[in-house]
Amino acid sequence: MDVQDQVITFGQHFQQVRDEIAKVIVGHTDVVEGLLTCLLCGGHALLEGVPGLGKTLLVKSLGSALHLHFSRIQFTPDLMPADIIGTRVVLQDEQERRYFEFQPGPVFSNLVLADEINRATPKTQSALLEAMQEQTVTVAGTEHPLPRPFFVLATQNPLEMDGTYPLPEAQLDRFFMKLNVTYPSFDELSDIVDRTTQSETLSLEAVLTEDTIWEAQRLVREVPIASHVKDYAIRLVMATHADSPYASDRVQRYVRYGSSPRGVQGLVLAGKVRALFNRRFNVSLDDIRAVAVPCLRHRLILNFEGEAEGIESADLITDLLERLPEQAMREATLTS
Amino acid sequence: MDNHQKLHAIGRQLQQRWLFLRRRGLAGEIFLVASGLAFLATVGARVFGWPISLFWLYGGILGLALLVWAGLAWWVRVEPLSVLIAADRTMGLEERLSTAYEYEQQQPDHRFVPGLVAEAEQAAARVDARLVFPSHLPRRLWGIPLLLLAIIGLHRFDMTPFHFDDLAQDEASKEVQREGKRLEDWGRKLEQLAQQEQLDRSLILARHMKHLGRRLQREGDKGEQASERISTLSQYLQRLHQELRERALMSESGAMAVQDILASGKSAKQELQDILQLLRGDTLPGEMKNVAEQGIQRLSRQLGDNPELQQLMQDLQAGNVSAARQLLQDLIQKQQAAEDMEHLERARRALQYSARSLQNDKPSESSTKPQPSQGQQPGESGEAFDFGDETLSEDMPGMDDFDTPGFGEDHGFGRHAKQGPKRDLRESEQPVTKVPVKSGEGQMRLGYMRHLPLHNEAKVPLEQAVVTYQQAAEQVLAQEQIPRGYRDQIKQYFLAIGMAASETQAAGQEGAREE
Repeated sequence: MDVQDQVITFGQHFQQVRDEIAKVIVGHTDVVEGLLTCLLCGGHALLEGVPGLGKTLLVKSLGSALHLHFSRIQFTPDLMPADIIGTRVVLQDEQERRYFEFQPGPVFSNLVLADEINRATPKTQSALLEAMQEQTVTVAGTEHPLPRPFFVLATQNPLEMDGTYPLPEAQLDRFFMKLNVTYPSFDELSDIVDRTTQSETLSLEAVLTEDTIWEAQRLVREVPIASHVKDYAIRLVMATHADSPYASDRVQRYVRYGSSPRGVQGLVLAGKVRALFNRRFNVSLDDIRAVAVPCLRHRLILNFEGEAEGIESADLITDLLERLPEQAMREATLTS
Repeated sequence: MDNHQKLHAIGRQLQQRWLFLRRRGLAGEIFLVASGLAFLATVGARVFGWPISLFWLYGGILGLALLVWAGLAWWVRVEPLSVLIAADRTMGLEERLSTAYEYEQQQPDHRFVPGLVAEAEQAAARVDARLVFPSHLPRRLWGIPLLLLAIIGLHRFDMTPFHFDDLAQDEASKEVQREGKRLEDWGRKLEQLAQQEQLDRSLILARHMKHLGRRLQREGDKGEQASERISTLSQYLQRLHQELRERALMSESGAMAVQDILASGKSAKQELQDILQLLRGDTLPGEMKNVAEQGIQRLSRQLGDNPELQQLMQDLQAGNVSAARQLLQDLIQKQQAAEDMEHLERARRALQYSARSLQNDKPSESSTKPQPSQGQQPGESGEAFDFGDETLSEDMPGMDDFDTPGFGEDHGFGRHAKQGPKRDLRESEQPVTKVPVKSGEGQMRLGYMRHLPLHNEAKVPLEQAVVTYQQAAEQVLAQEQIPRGYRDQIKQYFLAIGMAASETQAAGQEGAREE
């Protein structure tokens, strides 16, 4: 198939997914697009929002529309790592001989919903670390590969802090994007009421298969990106570091640690996906800017002053996007 | 391939447009700097009178500017990718042109390149080089016509020579300027002569005259009085110049005479008396003869070629001691008579000056002043100038030094004695001219002298005074433990630290008990 056809097909497929999800989820188009971006980049998503905004429903709808194996883990304080990744159990064969056999946990799925992930203890949370990064699970010295594609969608509630365990920075960095689920507007609420108070139950149709997703992931990585666009992404990530020459005054004041190199990878890959969504063959600066906040906001660790003053990392990134020149000095002097 | 050529074509088009604008901008900047330099040089040439040929000046600046511009224009380069990035940014093409160009150049086999270039081709059709790189004139380049107009203006109006401290020059009358200039010139000549002659006081006077001339040129027209005063000073300076020039002619002998006087520390009269002491006897030993001859030689150098001294030397060498002694006695008497004459002359002048001062009180006489005829030298006309004029002594420190014997006088063995009737009309005999002027910055001499009181000034012996004051001081110390001036401060201090309060409370308690 020609590349142009592939790009067009890509756009069509994911428009279908969006349409299917839109049957159940009202609004939240940017969140849906972010979830699809994570899926196509092979990354994981962290959804944050107050209860009742449809986070779990959104992920379940995505699983239904993608025709992928879906599992849900409700994180609680007494949840153990073995409850997630599985454990070895003793079985007895026909000759009445006993043996150990690995029983895979719910993490062995294409689409894993880690609901209220911050309610589990750090020990249990860290059980997901290896699975999210390496896409393998090691139990009793035996490494068990996870099914491809593997996609973790975690949700957390920002309001209830009692009895919760904030995610460690190492695990936060493993999420490709952090998506904020905001409160719906008046029209969206009206639509939600109409849809959820009827007797009729909507059913979603699976429009994408595992192979289609796999092929789309490969296509995404081939999208060209110009060197100056890549430089811009790098400068943007470097600008999140307080000791960087690109850092703004606010970053120098409020940020303790900036984004890791995973931030640049996320920016470029998400930019490529966005270019394909828009049926373009190249990544633009606007693509990088559009994905900067969800890709970087959970990677910035604020210092005490920033926490005390209630600074939002998203605001810092928006500030950087406004201040950071699009072009390096060489090109900037050209057009001056 | 056709698409590639079009992409390159738009790249070249943008490149040329940018280079054209950049080189034009450089030309403007360089011409602005050159105009500024030309303006400064014109100011220097036209206003301050710098000796610069304007043809070579403007030619040189223009040539240099062209050379610099050519070098910079050749050095300026731009890559096609850079202009394509600028086009993407300006036209909102979402980096299509730059990405397509870069991948076409670096990864032509990339499977996205055909589609990418096709999109870039469509986008390039919308690119207008004039929109990507619009032509705009920097505001600072408007300074070029202003500078050129300023240069033309400088050429239109003659401003040479211009001094910023001569802003009041327009108001000054031409006569005052001319006389002031004349005075300054004479002061300068006088200064040179005084430097040659190593005459310190004359040098100071000459410099003062020079500065006075400059000042009068700046003062402007203050009426006829200033003009008259300048004229008087100018003529007086001419006379001084003539005298100094005559002195300069006898530079060697005069200088040696001064040196001899300084070395021996004797005046002419003393020298004559010493020689007379040597010639008391009828015979003169060889050593004494040598000493006497040396003394006569010193006198000859000091007083110039004097026939009486030559005769004295001849008599001495011939061994005619009595004739030499007689001649010496005549010379001493003549010298004494000259000094007496000088004292008498001073007294006469003082009396005459007092009499004229009384006459000047009358208003009708105070305004009269004779003017020297134009082109007539002061010495030739027989008119001398008033050395005792208050204006001179007020404005010119050191002027009194010229009113001493031997300077412009007719007495003694000086060569001026030979000038005879020229000096009959003295300056003091001139009618006094009183020109009201503003007092200048005169020099003030202050001297302090510490001395013991004279014998008659002390009423009480020192020993008694010391004892009295010592007793009084001890009495004061015995009466007061705390000096009176410090009482309040010490009381406030103890109040501040609480001691006085506790004492007050204790005193109050004691008072209560007593009650």
